[in-house]
Amino acid sequence: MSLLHIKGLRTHFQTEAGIIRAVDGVDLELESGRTLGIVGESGCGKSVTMLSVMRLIQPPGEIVAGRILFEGRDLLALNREEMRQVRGGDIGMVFQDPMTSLNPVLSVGEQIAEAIEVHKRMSRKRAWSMAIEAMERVSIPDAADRAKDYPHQFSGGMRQRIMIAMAIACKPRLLIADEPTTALDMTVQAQILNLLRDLQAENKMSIIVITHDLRVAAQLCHDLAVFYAGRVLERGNAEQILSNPGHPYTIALRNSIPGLPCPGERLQTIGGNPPNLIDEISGCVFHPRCSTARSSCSNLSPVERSVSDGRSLACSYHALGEM
Amino acid sequence: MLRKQMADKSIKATAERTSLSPGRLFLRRFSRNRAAVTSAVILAVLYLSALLAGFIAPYAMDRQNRQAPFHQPIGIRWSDESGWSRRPFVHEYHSGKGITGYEKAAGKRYYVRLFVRGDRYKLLGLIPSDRHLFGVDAPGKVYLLGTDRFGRDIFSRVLYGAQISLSIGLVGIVITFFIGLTVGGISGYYGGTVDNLIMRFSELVMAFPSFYLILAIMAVLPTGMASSLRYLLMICVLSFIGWAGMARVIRGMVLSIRERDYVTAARSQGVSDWRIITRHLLPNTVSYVIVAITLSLPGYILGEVALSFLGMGIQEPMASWGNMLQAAQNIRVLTSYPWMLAPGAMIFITVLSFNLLGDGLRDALDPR
Repeated sequence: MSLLHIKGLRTHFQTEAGIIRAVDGVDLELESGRTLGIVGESGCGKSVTMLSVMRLIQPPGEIVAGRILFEGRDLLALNREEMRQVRGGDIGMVFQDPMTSLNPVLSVGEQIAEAIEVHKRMSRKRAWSMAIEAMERVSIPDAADRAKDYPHQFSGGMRQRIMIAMAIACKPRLLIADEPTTALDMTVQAQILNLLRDLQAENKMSIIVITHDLRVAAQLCHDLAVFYAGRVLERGNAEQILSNPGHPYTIALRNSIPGLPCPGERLQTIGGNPPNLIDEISGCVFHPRCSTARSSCSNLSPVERSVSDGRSLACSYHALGEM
Repeated sequence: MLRKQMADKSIKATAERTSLSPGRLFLRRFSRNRAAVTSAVILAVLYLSALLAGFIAPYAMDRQNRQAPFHQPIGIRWSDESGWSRRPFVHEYHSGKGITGYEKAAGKRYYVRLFVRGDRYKLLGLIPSDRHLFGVDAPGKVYLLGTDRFGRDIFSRVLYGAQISLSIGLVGIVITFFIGLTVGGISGYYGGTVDNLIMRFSELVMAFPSFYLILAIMAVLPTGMASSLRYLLMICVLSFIGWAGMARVIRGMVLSIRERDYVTAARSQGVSDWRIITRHLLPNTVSYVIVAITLSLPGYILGEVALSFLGMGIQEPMASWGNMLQAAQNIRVLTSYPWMLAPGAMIFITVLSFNLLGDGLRDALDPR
């Protein structure tokens, strides 16, 4: 049994302009102990999918269909109290911007200890010492002293470590990291990625990393899911997808990494804009921007099909090797 | 060697600066504002003396001296015609022509002594005692601010009156803010229908012409009602009308704070709604709340004054600044016995101090 299995998830936002289909039929699977990378452009539904898993979608957003199985339990069927135990207990989450994700009026130790107190029945003092342990696990020097400091006294990288300490304080089996390195500079990015890798090795924890940086995905992930317009276009082994992408979108995405196809060449871009999610797109969601689209792509909706060892993609024409 | 020491020192200095907690930073900024610090000291003195009124006041609140109505203030002196004295003393006064005006009786000195025995009282309402901070031997009298028409010491009554006039604001504020924070926090955090219902209800409360409502309620209360009960009722009425404005502002702030990332982060940790409201949302409104408290306290004090002034509040013989001012309503009293305005001066000082303190707190908490 896989650790997390998302089936046909649809999360829609009811707005005055119409229904925004932020997530429109997503299937994902994550085996225990592995790292899944979710890549895609801004606004393609990566974060909304993960917030749906945590059931943190706020009105006007709503999960309208699908099942989210975590260790076989459907998270969407849990009541509020059970869900609260899952959040932070079974699944931890790290957010993009460490500058705004910590409460400025509480010391960092209090914030980590709060996460522990919520899930484990224990005294304040014990929770505090566990918070310090969590800070030590994310390699914050002088953790016992620094726990009393406030967020503004930490650098960006340190704050992200604290966010991670908060998320892993209760030893969750799944850690969701929503663009954990986007707001950080290059050297700190590398440190945080190493930290995540080490934590995974230590705790046998599964990780889902949302990123729009394919290089981050390449460094960290075993598996990859390529999102576009609220759908998964291609998923499978990360190394294989990056070295031999199958879907035209994945190919275009890989080609637009600076200096990757041929160093010194003009940067390749994907023409057009990401679709407006209010309009229904007939056929393949990517066909208006696809360089290899055929006439039937505009009315034939591709079904996700499996191609070789655990890889699947949603394109009516392209399959591996055809390129 | 020296250079290394200096370098060490400067590193230490920067470390100290960066590690100042928000509280320390606030204290530092606040202490630079002279007016606010002065106000804080004045208010501290006022509240302390209200607390210890029985001890500091030389006479009981209702101790009458029928021989000396409208006595002018008696100053404590160190010297008179016969020269200087090593101890402060007061003179004796005799009533002169008619009922007004008292004349100094020459010669006799009554020395002011500390910790004298006098009227019985209960310190802090608990410890029975008859020691007073200062006083003079009978038949001398020490009326620092004169007496009223029953010959009661105004200085003592101002102190006793402060107990009511100053505490009514505090108690009122506590009730108002408790309701305002809870209601505003819930309304802002949950939003939607809950928010709509609560806000429409608070608008209903705000639409009441509050002062007339209070007047009406106080007017229907039986006259024989105990003063302390009347006092409690007054606080309740004042604060059950005051919470609505507070709740609206808190709700607005919570509405914006709940969109911050750290609230989502807290939710992703499985923190309960109640805990998010009380630990993440409301503490972030604290700078507003502190300022609002200091700025709205005068409203309660003035509310009590207005009610008592109209005879609807605290009843004689209990003293409050409002009902003491009531005695100074007509022009004859004002021109002949200006010391009857002493409670007015106290109100002025208190309200001004609260306003200056509020401004200072705002500047220190929110330097923008």
